[in-house]
Amino acid sequence: MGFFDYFQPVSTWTAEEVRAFLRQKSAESYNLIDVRQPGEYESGHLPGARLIPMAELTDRLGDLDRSKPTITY
Amino acid sequence: MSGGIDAWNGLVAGGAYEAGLAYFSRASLPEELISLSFALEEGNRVFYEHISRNLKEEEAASIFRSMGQAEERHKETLRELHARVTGKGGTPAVPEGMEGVEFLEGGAPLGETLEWAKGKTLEEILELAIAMEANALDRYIKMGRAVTDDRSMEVFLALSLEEQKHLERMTSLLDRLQGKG
Repeated sequence: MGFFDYFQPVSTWTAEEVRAFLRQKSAESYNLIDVRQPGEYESGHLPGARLIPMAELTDRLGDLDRSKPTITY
Repeated sequence: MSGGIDAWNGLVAGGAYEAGLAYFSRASLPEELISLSFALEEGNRVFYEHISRNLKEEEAASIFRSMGQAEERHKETLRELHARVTGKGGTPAVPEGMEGVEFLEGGAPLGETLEWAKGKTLEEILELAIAMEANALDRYIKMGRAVTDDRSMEVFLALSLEEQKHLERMTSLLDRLQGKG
C-alpha cells in the first residue's frame, strides 16, 4: 500500500444503488464483503458476500482483488 | 453501503460462509461440489413441480412449473460438467450425509417442507422459494470461487446468473401480490 492509497475516494451507496449494481454485474466482477461478526453473517447475508469481520480486515486485504470495485456492509 | 444489512430489506442467504458448500458433507473437490448442486437442484425440482400442481393461481403455477423445468436443465448442465470433470458419465453420486433424504437449497428436508406447504398461502410459499433461490445464488457464487478450472468456474457463474433471474421473477410476483409492483 502506497502513500496515495490512503487518499482513495470511498463513496457511500444506498441499499437501492447496491441492489441496482449487483443486478447489472456478474459475481466475479466485484468484491462484496460482509464485515460483521460470523453470527450476524450466519443469520443472513447478501448472496455471494464474503465474510471478513472488521477486526480481520487489515490482515486479509490480500484476499481482495484490487482491480475490482469493493462493496462492504 | 449506507445503513448496512438493515437497509437492505431484500434477498438474504442464511448460514455460515461454508454453508451450502460443506453443510451436508465435506464437499471440496469439484466433483463433490457438482454432486451437491445436482442433489439440491433435484430437491428443488420436486418441490416446484409439486407446488405447481397444487396451486389454483394459474400465473403462479406457471412460474413454479417453469422453475421446475429450469432445475431440470440445471441438472443436465451439472451432469455434463460432472462427466467432463470426472471422465465418467451417468448421474452424479449422492453426496455424503444426504443418502436417503432429499434436501432443498438452504438445507430444509424436502418431505418436511412439502408437509409445511400444505394449507400455506401463495405468499408464504413464494417467500420460502425466494429464500431457497437466494441460497442457491449464494452457493453458486461461492462454488465459482472454490473451483480452479475454467470450465467449472464458467458453469457455476452461468448458474448463479440463472438463479438471479429466478429470484427477480419470483420477487416481482411477490411484489405484485403485496401491491408493491
